[in-house]
Amino acid sequence: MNSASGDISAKATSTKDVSQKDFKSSLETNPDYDPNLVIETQSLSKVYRDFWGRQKVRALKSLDLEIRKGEVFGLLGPNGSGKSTTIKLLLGLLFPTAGRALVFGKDAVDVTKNERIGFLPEESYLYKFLTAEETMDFYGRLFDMPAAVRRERSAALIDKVGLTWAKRRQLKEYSKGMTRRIGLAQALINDPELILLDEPTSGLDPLGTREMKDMILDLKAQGKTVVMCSHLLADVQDVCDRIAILYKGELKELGRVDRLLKVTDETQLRVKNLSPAAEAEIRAVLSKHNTTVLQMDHPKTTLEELFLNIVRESEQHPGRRSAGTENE
Amino acid sequence: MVVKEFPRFLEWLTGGDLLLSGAIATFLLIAVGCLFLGTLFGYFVAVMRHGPFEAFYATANTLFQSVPDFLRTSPRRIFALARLAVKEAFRRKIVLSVLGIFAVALLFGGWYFDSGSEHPERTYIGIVTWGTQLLVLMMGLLISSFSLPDDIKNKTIYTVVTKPVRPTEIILGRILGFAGLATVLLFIMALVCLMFVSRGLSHGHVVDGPSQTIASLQKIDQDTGVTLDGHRIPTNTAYLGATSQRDNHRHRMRVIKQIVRKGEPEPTNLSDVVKVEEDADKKTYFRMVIDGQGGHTHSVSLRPATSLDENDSEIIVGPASGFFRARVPLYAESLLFTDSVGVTKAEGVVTGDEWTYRGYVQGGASLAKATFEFAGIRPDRFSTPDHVEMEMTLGVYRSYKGDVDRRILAEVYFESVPDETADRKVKFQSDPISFETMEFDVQGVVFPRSMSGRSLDENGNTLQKGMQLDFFDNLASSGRVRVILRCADRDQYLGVSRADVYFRAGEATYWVNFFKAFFGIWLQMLIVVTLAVSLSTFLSMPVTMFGTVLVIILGFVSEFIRELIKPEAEGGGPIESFVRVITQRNMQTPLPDGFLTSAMEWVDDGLLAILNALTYIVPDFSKLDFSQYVKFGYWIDGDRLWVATFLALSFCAGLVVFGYFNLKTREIAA
Repeated sequence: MNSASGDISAKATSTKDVSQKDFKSSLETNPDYDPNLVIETQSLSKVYRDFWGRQKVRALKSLDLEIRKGEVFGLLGPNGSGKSTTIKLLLGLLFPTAGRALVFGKDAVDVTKNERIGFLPEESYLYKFLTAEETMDFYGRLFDMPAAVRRERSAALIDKVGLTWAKRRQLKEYSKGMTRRIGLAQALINDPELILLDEPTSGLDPLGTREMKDMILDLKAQGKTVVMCSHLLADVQDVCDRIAILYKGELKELGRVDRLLKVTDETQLRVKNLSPAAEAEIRAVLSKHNTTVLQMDHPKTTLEELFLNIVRESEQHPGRRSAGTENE
Repeated sequence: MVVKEFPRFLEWLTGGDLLLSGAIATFLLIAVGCLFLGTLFGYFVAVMRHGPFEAFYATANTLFQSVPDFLRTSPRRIFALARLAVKEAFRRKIVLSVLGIFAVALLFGGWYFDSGSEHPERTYIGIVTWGTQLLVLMMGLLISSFSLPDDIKNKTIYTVVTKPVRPTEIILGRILGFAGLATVLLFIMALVCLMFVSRGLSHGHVVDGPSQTIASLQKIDQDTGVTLDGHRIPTNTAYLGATSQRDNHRHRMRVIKQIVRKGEPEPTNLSDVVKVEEDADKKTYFRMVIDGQGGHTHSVSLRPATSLDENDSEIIVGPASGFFRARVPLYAESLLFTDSVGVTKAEGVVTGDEWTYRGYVQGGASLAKATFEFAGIRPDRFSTPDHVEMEMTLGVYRSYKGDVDRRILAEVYFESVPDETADRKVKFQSDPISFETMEFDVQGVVFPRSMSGRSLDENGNTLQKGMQLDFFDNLASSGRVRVILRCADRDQYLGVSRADVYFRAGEATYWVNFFKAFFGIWLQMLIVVTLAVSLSTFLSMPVTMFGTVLVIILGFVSEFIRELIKPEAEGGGPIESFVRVITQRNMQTPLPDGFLTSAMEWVDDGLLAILNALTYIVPDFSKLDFSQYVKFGYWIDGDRLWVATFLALSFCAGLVVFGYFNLKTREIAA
């Protein structure tokens, strides 16, 4: 993805300014509203029922959550843990069975909150008969944007997600990765303060995944609040400040990623050009202090990093075979 | 064509003197009732979900939120969603398919029209309006039924409702998009239909004979009214011939004698005059005319204008005229019958006809008559100031065979209606004018503005005879005039209804009338689209289609259903009818007494009550159907259009509100 338009958020639209000002002024009347608190759920519960009102499944149980401005927050959990239900409740796509969900201090079913929200659904549910340009124009119109602003933002975002070359093709001709990119672009058309991403890396190749993660970090750098749900732990680990782990609708863990992942009773050494003599000395010292060496070897890079290195090297030196480790 | 009583639009809207009986009052009453019932229903649903107290707040909250939702509806968002709907219909090739079906239907439809039949224009117009109506309503139903359910099923709606889009915008956007698309298609279809009908009926003739001159016509020497081979012809015929056969018909050509006495205005158009004979006190114009056949005639002219003796003027038969008419009728306000002993009644003699549309007047009895009273008769409403034209479709009942070659004779005369405030109520009455009835066919009768008559006092005694009366200044001076019809043939009967006799105020533009009929189809389409979009906010596509089709059918036959479920209708309700069918009992045979029969009648009563209620809930599509007016060549007056527009828009407004609350209270992702 092209990063040339990284400062796109600075180009706020006058219409949006007015509507957000109205929205903010209306919130000033709410004495409980904390402007730093973007999302707040209080005992949020959701029970799915059948046609006759009988309980089918309890998707979410009394979730209490606070997400603050500028955070990248991850909702983790296996399939059916309640991640998507939480996102849908926050967007007003579902109504809570009990408890409440507040977004920017407003009830989640209030449509005015959507002025400040961008949403990338799990499957990029877009109109396949539209082209990328038409898609962006359509969603821009839904934000009541004037034509000039729509054109400017559409072009910049299509460029940002690297789809300028395919902007006049109907989305039905797009690959899954391309659809995810245009899905992300439409989620950013209104320069939102809060971006909700449902499985953002789903269907993306490693390069696309990396770019998506870079994009999320870029949004964080711009001061945006990002809430993403995923079951791909590596993705969450890389970009999230805080995470919540859900299991069968219940909150199991909540906290900062670095603290949650820190193993305080283990230490890992990672050095370069360590000679066998020096290694023997280190082992001797460790033995002297009654420690057990679990593992001491050359660290391995991740498959993702290896793949990226190969792709980058191939782009810099076309035709040359990358120096692998097979002959060593 | 049956014309029913029809009030003025404002009178209909406001109820006239009785304010609470107007359409606005009814609309408000229904709106408040629906809102109350809807709120109650919503509350009960919420009670089941949240309990009585939470339900109260949820219901109140939804109601209060609806106000800003309606007020803050954004035209730009509506337009964006409308564009999306149009693009969707285009790119799914629905428009192409509809136009394709329409083109194929027209291409091959021409094969089955018989332009030589009686009134072929009625067949043409009837078929094209019916076909277009069917196609447009089906298209409207199809595109608007699948759109929203598809969006919900494919979850594309997630990316829309997570933007600041209100349910009103989603509904109005779709309605606007689909209705806009259908409007463009309907306009194209109307244009093509107009051209198709005009082209299909266009034809010409030449004179049937060895030459295109007067020599091909047979000279009639005597004013006997009968030709040498025994055919009846009007007595003023001087020459008789025929046109060539074309489209399975030919016309009678005649040269008629028109006598203009000294002092009378001379004819201005002389293009069809073949000879003029001048005496001391009169001029006789010999004019070429072509008699009407199958609802049309042709203009005729001569080139160069010359005398009969030379026989070398070429007769030019012009294009067909009379197919496309938009007669502006002025209907009577009331019709009263007077029987043979002078008693005035609301209904005429019943001749045994089951269809009681016409009442009959006994012939030969001096007192029996039908009196039509017209209002608003002013010279400015008539396009022809020097004469007054009436049209009549008179029924005839022959109590004996009589002279089969001669049609029943009728008499008509006019009578003024004195102003109630006038001190001296002098009445004017024209002398009776006899004419032959066309018997169930439309016939035009032209009366000169000036006619002979008499004046009468309040008691009906003649004050002065032999007066020359002016139609507008004397007979219709108060704006009101009575037209009195009598049957001149003894013991034959003349059948009339209020809509059968009217003044022809003028001729309006045909193509405008044609588009007015299509406007009726447009209103129907608007209701279908709105209904389908509204139902699709909570129903799946097949159920939406089924529900909409059901409403369309009920809408078209609601009047028939109301007739069917009247207490005097024989055969009982649906269950009783079914029992009669399987037990092979006719409608008059009483069913055996007992609990089962009683139970069946109770259930039938319940079903008929529901059916009756349904006919009042669904829109009456017959009120939006103006094709009959165009088909029979009558101008569609503005009041009917206004009433139809108000009805359609009111219904659509109700449906939008209904759809809004459905969508607002629906969990999109559930």
